[in-house]
Amino acid sequence: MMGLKRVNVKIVESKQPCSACLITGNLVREMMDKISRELGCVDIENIKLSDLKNVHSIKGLEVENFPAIIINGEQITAGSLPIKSNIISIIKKEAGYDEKD
Amino acid sequence: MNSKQLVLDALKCKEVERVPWVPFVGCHAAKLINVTAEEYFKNADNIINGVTKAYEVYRPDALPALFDLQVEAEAIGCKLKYADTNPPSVVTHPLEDGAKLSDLKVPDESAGRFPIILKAMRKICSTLGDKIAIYGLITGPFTLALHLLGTDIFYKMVDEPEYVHELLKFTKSVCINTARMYIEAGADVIAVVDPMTSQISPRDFAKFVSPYAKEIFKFIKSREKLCSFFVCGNAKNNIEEMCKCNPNNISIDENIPLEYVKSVCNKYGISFGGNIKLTVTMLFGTPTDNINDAENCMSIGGKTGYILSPGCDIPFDTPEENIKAISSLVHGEVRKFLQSTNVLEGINIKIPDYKNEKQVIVDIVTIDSASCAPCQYMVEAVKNSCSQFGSKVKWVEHKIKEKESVVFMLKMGVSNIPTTLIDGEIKYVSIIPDENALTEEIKKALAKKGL
Repeated sequence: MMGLKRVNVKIVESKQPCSACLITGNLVREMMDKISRELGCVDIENIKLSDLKNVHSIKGLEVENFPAIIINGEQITAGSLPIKSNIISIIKKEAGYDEKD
Repeated sequence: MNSKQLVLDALKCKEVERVPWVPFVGCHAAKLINVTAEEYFKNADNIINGVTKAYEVYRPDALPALFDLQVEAEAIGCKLKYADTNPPSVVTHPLEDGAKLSDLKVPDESAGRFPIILKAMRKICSTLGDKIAIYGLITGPFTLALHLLGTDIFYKMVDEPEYVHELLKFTKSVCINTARMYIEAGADVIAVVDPMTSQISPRDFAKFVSPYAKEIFKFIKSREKLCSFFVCGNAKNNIEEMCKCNPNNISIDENIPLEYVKSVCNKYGISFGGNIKLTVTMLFGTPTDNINDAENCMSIGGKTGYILSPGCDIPFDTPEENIKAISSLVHGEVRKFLQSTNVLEGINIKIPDYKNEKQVIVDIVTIDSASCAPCQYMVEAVKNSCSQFGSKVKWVEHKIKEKESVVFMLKMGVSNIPTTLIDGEIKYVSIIPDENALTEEIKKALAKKGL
């Protein structure tokens, strides 16, 4: 783990999501918590939007469908459940894992 | 026509006199009666009072008795985290935590919160059931399976498909039993709400969802009740597979174009519903934004086999005025609604002296032709007709998104959107004028002024 960079993961949700987005958001957070524990180099930021005025201040948010995952300023998902192995792969790359890892 | 009959006929693809309106009031009902979402979902009296209040305030044609996709999961053994302004969330997945599928039981009337929910549903059905249709919402088999197993389900669909099928057979049984309980409590329509199916491909849908959804709808129909397949999220690729499951109705959210759903559902003789935007329009928009969105939906949906509804359950803090604005449009009372709001105080406009103007003025009152399809068609028709008269005729669009236009609308006695006036006289109300007929009317107006 020596020399690994910290990776910032933002999970952006509406403060009052519909039932579908609520379920998706919960599963996204569960998944990211597991990944964070596995990899140890992840800083998770949970952002709940109470209005749309602040949307443009979120660096990296391009598609306003929620929940959205932004990893080191790049939006990865918009309203969908990600594939866990894809997220792990992206985080490892951002953290500077050796290709053999 | 009675509201309930309107909904039942629309669900069966019969032509109706006006588009039925079904606001999916879930935790928003808690706000209406000044309780938290947690207090609402855990108390039968609160549910009854909330739904009753929603009926009084929003004048719907149908309402869900409850909108909570965690009821069955909790009754089976998932732990929930409740909230003040949202439905509860599932926080444990028994099958992920070591429980065996064979340990899980199909919940009955005494399990979890079912005693509260059934008590509320029976009362709501007996009090309101002759006036409006009551929907019983059940969590669909795939979403329930996700609650029980967590996201590992997606790996198991590839690595252990037989296990997933066993799990879905179990959740199907839960769905059927819940549908039975709600039907016996008086529900008119059973909606199978399965949002997580939007996360899987049509191939996986056909393999893992369709066999079980078909059985659920078959059961509901065997009890002579109507059924809806309700999926939020970007489920566009799965609409065809959803239709093949043979529900009476498909309900979708803003992620899927309503025109597309209409075209697919028409092929299968299935009604459809949706898809007013929940966040941008209902929660954060203005009343006229809501009128605009609803008008667009209604113009696409039409009066055969279409139900106007939001894309999913209405957020807790949605302003009442936004929902009332939609109700006013549905009931042909936009003018009355706008007059009752106080947003127009201090707005003054000058009405032209039509009689003495040296040109004919064609006024079009719209929501906004840039975003409202019927408004756009009316503006185009007027524009095309007027173009042949040069400077003798002027056309003006009054968009009621702007307060000055609302004042114009009220001063001119306009009640419906869109409406065309020629020299201050209302000529076309909600009807797109035939260009030849419109041209003749303009010529008459010109002749009257000697122009």
